[in-house]
Amino acid sequence: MASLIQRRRIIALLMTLILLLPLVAACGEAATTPTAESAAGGATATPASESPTEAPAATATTDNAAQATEEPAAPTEAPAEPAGDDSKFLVFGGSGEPDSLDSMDTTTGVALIVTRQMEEGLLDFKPGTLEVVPKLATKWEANDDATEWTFTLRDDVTFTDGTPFNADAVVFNFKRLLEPDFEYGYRAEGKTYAIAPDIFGGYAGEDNTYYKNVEALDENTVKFTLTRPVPLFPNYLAAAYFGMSSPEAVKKAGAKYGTPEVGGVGTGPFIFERWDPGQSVTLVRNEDYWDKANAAKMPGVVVRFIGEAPQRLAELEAGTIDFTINLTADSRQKVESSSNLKIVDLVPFDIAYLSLDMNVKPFDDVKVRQAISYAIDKNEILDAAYNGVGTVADDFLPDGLSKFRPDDLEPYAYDPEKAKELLAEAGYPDGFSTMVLTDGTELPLELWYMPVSRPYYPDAKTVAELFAAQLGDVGIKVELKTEDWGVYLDNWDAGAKHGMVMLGWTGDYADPNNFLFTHFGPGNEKEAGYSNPELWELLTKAGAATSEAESIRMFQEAGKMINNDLPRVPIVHAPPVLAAKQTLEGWIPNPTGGESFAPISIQK
Amino acid sequence: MVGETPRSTRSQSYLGRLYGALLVLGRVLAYILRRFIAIIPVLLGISLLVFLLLRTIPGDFAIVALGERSTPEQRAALRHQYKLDRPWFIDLEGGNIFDTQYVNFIANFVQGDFGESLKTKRAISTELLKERFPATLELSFFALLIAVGVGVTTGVLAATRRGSWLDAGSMLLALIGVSIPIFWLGLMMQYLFGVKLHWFDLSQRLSNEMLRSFEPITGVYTLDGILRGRLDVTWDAIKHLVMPSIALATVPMAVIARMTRSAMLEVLSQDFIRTARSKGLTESTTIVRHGLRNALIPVITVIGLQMGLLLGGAVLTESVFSWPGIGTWLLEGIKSRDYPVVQTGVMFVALVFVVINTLVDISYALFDPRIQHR
Repeated sequence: MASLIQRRRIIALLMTLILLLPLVAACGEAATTPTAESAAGGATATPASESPTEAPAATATTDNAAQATEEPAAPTEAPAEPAGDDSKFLVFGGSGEPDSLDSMDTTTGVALIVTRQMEEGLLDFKPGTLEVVPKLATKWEANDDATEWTFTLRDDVTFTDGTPFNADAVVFNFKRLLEPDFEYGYRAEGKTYAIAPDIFGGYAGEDNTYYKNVEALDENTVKFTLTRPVPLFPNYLAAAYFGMSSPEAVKKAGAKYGTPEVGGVGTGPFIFERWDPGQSVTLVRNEDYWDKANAAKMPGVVVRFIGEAPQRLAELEAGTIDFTINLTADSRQKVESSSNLKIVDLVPFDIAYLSLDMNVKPFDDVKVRQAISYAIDKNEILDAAYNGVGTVADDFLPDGLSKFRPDDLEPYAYDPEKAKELLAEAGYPDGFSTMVLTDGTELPLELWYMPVSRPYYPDAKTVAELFAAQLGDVGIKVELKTEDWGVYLDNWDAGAKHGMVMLGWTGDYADPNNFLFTHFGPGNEKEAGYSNPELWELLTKAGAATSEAESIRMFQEAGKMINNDLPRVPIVHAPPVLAAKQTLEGWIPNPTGGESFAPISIQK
Repeated sequence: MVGETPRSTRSQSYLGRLYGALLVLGRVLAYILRRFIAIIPVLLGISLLVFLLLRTIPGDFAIVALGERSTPEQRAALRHQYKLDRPWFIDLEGGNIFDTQYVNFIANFVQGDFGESLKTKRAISTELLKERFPATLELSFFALLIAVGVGVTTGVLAATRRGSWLDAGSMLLALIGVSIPIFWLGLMMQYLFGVKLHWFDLSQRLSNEMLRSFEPITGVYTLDGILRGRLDVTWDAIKHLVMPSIALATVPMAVIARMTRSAMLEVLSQDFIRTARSKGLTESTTIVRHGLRNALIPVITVIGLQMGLLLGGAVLTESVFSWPGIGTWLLEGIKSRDYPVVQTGVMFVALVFVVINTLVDISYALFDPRIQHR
């Protein structure tokens, strides 16, 4: 019994010690070697960590410090990795955990920003723009009607697992993406390739797809055959979805390709090293990168998974991450007022809009729709909900596609008097507060706002309240509603959302139809009752026009039609909030959200 | 001759005692067995609840998996692939009557086949047992260590100095500890010790370079560091454990402190304490040997119950500190409507919870002869 109590005493003592030790140690370090401590914690935090071996030494006992410097050579597959550079890995605060590192089998931004560093595509966007430039293909050309596209590939590239990059590898990748019966698609085991229908209209053999065939003409030439003209085909292929994976790696891993155990294998400036589920993905520099001029400046990059925006801001402030994306709109001021941090600018490539359900009265009347557009003060919304950052949207096309905008567009500037006039003309001199469905049911007028935050609507509820107030000024009374995001989208797709619906879109590639056909094509008929076959034909033709001037002319004409009919009111184009340490240089974010981290460096 | 009778008596009494002991042992074992059998209906009830709750909350796995821009046809195909279009309980429309979502879930769970995550397409057994559970276990263990160490000490001190400022102060702190929201405390600690003072990293289980330079064995990093001879890793892991485990420990710590205090007060007012004091024992011997020992039974009960609550608190703590344990795993699973992950995860947590509680029940039935196992 005595021994029991003694043991308890010892345990209590131990517990107290365990409790106190870290505190004492941390205090001591903070007082004596603050820089080395933070370097150990934050990888790239401070300039004092020049000799990386000091970082562990600051926190470990001397015995272990020696060990720590040797150990990094030992992990799973480390080649001749210079162990000394560990403390200089770039740390990116990603907004979540990737679902896969197989670029063709994911549609999420958090995954594509990682795959983009390893799996390069045939084409790329010029940094910071939507202009298509060569990457693994040196040149490309189409036949006259843009149904056959021939790409000439680089002949000096190998995948980081040693597999040669050639026409066969390209064919392999596109076949697994597009052909459901391709041997190495692993669809039965769970691969979905959800992006293919979105960009190619469907998988091989399906009604709507324009994909017909892909073949290797010789070692370094690939030909795509399409069922209809697609003049913007290169713009699509430059999107981050179409990264090339090593065929050998895919065959070896099967359906497990892209999972934490396997990662991804491409030709890029970084190589997959490890993925610690729930924590981070670590990539190391590709020392044999084919494009010496654009090789990675930093020895590696750690992509951490930090789902909450305020958490990412806190980590940035603490110095534990170097740069991050998708902060909240109100983070901007905090970042700008900090001497260590900076906002990184990005031209918005999105649209926030308000859809008006033309299946219900009174939205079937164009005068009512126009009146609503006049009643909304977009500038007030931009100031109140976006901190004034972004641009008021006169039409659906963001600045990156401005050449397709009508030159003489007459936007609906804020004018409540004009709105009242139009309402009176439409037979509602005192406004209205109900809507009538097709079956005659009369319901209170609904305005739906999204339950989630997106760059285009970072705070949808605030915007909805502003809408309600502004519309109230002209006599239109709305009832604000929201619901679970999944259900919101389901009901939207099913055409079961009536009244006014807030939604938005971020573009994937430089194609006006990515904005226009998506929102005013046949899909709208079901979603919100706008059916205009003349416009559909015009948009399709504009997308298929092989001469750019012709294409621009037709898109402009379509823009005017949309502006007149106004089934959806464009509100703003708002950029995501990106921030980095002051010492970080070379980060040129892309409007599509998939840029290379290779040029990024941390200055002393 | 003379010696025979006593010998046989001895052996008889030895046998008798053995028999008696076996009888008691048998009764204890039967009690334990009964307690464990009682777990089964509890787990079945929980499985039903999780299953139904998951399917009644709005939202669709297919949208999350295929993206906001997928077509209804693609979503239907995906649901079919994962058998999410099967009936819930029994199939009355032809086909195998028991080839339904719930029956498959239970049958597979019992066989230890947890299936794959819909989102990551990885084996749930790997994610749960090799990655997430060790992380939660490590966090909960350290939190429990803090809660018990600080809680019991504070409780004893408060009880022995009843009415003093120390008593009032510590009990006020305990009250705050019980009432304080974990996530608020976590955020405040992160701001103060992470952002402002740079003492600790805000989140993660290990620094990036430590994580890179070592392969876990059990997934409990403090232990793995020792097993791999990497005390620097253990030390780094402990540093990362400090803030989250303190945050997680606050509520149980406060509860334990209050319980210890009241149990001690009760014991200290008893006659045998006065006897002990009058025998001339030192005050510390009296309090620890005679007081604390007797006060421990209700405290152990509370500790046992708090162990279960730690698992619940871990969900909040883990999400504040981006701790890759079961809590964040479940949250992610719920967000992406990853049915197998959520079902298996909740069942696993429930299993652990129920088993711990049962063990605690049994243990104090064993410790305290006053509790009869009927």
